[in-house]
Amino acid sequence: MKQKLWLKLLLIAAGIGFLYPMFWMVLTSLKGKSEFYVNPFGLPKEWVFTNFGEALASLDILKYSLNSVIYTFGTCLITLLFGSMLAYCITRMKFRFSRQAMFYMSVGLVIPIQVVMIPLYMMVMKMGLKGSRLSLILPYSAFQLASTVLMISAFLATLPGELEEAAAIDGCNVYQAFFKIILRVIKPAVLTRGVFIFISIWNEFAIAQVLGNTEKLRPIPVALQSFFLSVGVSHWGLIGAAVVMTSLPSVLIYCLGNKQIENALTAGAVLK
Amino acid sequence: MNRFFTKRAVFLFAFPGLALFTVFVVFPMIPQLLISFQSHNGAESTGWVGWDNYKNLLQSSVFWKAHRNTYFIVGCSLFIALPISLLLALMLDRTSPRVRAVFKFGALFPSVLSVTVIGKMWTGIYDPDWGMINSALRGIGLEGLAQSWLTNPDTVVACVAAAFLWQYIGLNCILFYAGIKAIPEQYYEAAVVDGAGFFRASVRITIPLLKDIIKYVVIVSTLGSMGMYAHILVMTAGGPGDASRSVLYQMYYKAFSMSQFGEGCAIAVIFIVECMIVSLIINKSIAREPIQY
Amino acid sequence: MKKTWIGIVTAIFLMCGLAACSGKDSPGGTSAADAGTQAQTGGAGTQAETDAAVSGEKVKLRGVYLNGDEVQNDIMDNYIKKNLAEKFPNVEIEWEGTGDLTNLLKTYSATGDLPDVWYSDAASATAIINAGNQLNMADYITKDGFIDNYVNPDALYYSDGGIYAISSGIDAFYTPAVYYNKEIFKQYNLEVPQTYDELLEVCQTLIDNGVTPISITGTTGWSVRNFLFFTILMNEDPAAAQALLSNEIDFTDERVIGALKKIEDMLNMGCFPEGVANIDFSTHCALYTEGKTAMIATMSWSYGELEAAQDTGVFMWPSSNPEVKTGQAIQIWGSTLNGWAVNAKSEHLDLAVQIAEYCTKQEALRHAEKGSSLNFKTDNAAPITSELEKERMEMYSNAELYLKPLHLNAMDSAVMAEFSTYTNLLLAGDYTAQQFSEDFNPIWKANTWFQKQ
Repeated sequence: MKQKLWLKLLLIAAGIGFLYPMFWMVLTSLKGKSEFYVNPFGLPKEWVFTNFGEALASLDILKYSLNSVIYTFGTCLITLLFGSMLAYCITRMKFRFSRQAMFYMSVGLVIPIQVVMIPLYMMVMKMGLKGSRLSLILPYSAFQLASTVLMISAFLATLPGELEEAAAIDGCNVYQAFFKIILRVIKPAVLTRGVFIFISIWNEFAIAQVLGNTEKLRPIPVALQSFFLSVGVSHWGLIGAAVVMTSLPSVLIYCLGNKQIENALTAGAVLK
Repeated sequence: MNRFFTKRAVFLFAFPGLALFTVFVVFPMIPQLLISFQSHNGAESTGWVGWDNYKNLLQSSVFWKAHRNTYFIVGCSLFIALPISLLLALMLDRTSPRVRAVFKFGALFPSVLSVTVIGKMWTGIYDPDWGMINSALRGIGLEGLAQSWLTNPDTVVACVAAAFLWQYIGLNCILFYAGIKAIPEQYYEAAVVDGAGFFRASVRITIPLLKDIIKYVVIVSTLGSMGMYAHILVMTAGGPGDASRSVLYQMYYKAFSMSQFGEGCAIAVIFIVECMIVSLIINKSIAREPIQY
Repeated sequence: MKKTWIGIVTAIFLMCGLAACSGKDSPGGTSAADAGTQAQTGGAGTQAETDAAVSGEKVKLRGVYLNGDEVQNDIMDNYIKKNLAEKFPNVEIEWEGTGDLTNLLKTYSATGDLPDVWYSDAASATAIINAGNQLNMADYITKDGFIDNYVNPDALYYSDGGIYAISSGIDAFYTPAVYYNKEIFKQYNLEVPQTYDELLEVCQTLIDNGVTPISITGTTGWSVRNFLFFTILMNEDPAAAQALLSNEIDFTDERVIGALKKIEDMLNMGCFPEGVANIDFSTHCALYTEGKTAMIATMSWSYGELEAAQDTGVFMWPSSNPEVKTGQAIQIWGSTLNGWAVNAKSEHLDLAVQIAEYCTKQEALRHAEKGSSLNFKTDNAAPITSELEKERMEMYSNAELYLKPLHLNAMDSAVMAEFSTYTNLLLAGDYTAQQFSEDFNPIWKANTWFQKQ
């Protein structure tokens, strides 16, 4: 029993340890400029709420959030649609090259997206995608495709083969069968994957920093970095306010959909 | 079924995904390879230079330093972060559901934050003047250990690695836990009869049965740590000097700061080969026998 | 019911996506050739009108500016952006501010994505000029008479005889300076140091009393790269500084190593804040304005902020050689490549030149109103109001030798990136002046800056 208590305390401490930095940021955002240096970690002696307004004045959070939303949902849509179609084709259609296709896609698992940022950058600009949000959505989708196809394929492989036969008897063609029946059946896998893509793309920094580092295209993480660099912030109250406000969407989603996020993040491993 | 799965349907289903993947993942490696043999300023090629870019790289100490840093981080993630996650997961399995819920809520939290936020938080934690670590050290009378963590070339890589690993330790732990949960109860019942304690039961039963998940986590952590560059960019910009550059940061620096895109691409080509070799090694060394429950 | 909702949400996001993706800038207005003939007749303003009249819609341009300190932001917000719409009613400029001008411009240039007008910085300009992307404005501003606004037009010409950037010419009046907190100096009975040794004594007293002596910024080696190294060298031997600037000596020269050694020594002594290698520009100002350091060695454009926060005095970096008088040789700022520049491939070349001219004029106006001396003539010149700035300008006038900064006038972009890296490393400690010389000299030798000239 004694050992159990020790275990409990340790685990709870670890859990809180993961949350603490964000809590500290919230406290910081409520401190004045000079108080912070004197009292960086305690509760604010004087509660200041002006930091949020000031940070908002120089960081157009709404605009950058909209960018992030567009990238995230655009990527989800393209990846999930193309991914489940390809996975379906590989696992269930009589596709002569399905094994090769699977191997080919697994290249995407091995190569981190950042490695090809130089040619990707040159290419995207030359393709006439310059200044368009597709210049981020398409590479994102392509790189998310590999794991998506693998995961949905694994799910599809567990389904009984009679599904299509039944559909064919009902007079469906393959397209109807896919969109009306298969998609509905694989919905849990697709949704789980969607949550995963959402988290990855919402926070994506490496590629956006290179491909989307213009005023118009910046998603939240890149905008935040350029806020830290260019507005010239030595005022940690402002830093805290910006961090808190920009993390709010993820934090809210995290609190509301904790279970789904857990499923999404672990799904890849368990299915393998 | 051949009438059902027409050739046209197969094509229509396979084409969009394969095309997208080819254009944005596979194709860029071709210009990458070509540019690595040129002198290129980003706007235009100024001529073919043969193997010069590669020779320059192999002779430059920064390139090797970047490799040391990268594989140091990989090592930390495999030999420090991973065992910690596994241990936490084993402990998680032995505790009450309420504690489990509290821990899980915290553990996954860092994985939904962006690298910019994580980087800034940890820069604060490491601040030499008022940062959390130095304040704590001074508080317990270890003033001598307090130092400027991010500008000391000896500590900077470990510090950035810690921030990076902190973000994923919880996630890995939850992954392991999901694997543990999938192990049927009767395996443990046998162990209890044998009188095996926590550690013996873990080493004898749990860990061998977790092989698949461990393999998955090892692959993902290794490739993830190898590709780390955003945390460095946000926290230290590769500094002090070039002390904390990773291979990919060096690629970024060569191309975008020094306008030597040829050498940048050469680094990328070498790195792609490394990634493939590493994943092959992992695949071979952790055998893929299916586990029979 | 649920399905309907999912459908609606999906549809909305699809539409958002499509709308966003198709929102690319549509090119409007006349061709560059057309505009060229009109430019010779029309002055600023009228050109914009004709341009727009032809196309019948607002001309869209892109601009990039340096989003740095308070002065820069004041110029952009209150002098340029505010009045631009009135001055050019048919032009719409999509502005982008950045704190990292060098890298942004380099990447834009590399991909042919440069804006129409931008604030050029020397670190990226050579690469952009060599790629043929930065317009030589010499003919344009001579023809429309803009060049007549300058007291000394020669200051605009780059070494190849072209004019690639136009500026208010305030740069030549900016200098590095050491600002000190009078109260702290009084508290410890400190005198303004006249020599380098006296400066070290002042620092020692402060350190003994637990006060950090001098605030500088070390990210990208900023302070050392931009002025500290060169200023120390100048105060050791002005001839050596001149020789280095013209590539007659290299980083193995004893005097050069000596200057680096002084930085190394000061760092080891504890003259700079802890972790200086990771202190960014705004933090280094804050350290002084919050009263945490007794002095700040920085560029003089920041004086307003410093003066507002503390009772501040100023002195020039003290000489370390009995034969050199303190303040005899000073570093000024600038490069002929700093200033407003135009994209040589802009679709609205003449309009872009006019915008650049307007920005320059407004920038000059702001500086003149605050009482700064400029190369650009304005009608609004006001006397300097700040005693602190008056004092510095007096020191400025008393100097005999003015040298432009080394990093902007002797390094190509690759060398400058490495110079940043190594000066940053020097500030991290555990790295000696000797090692700096050994590591950096081969890079300096591979410099392409002097080959082009």
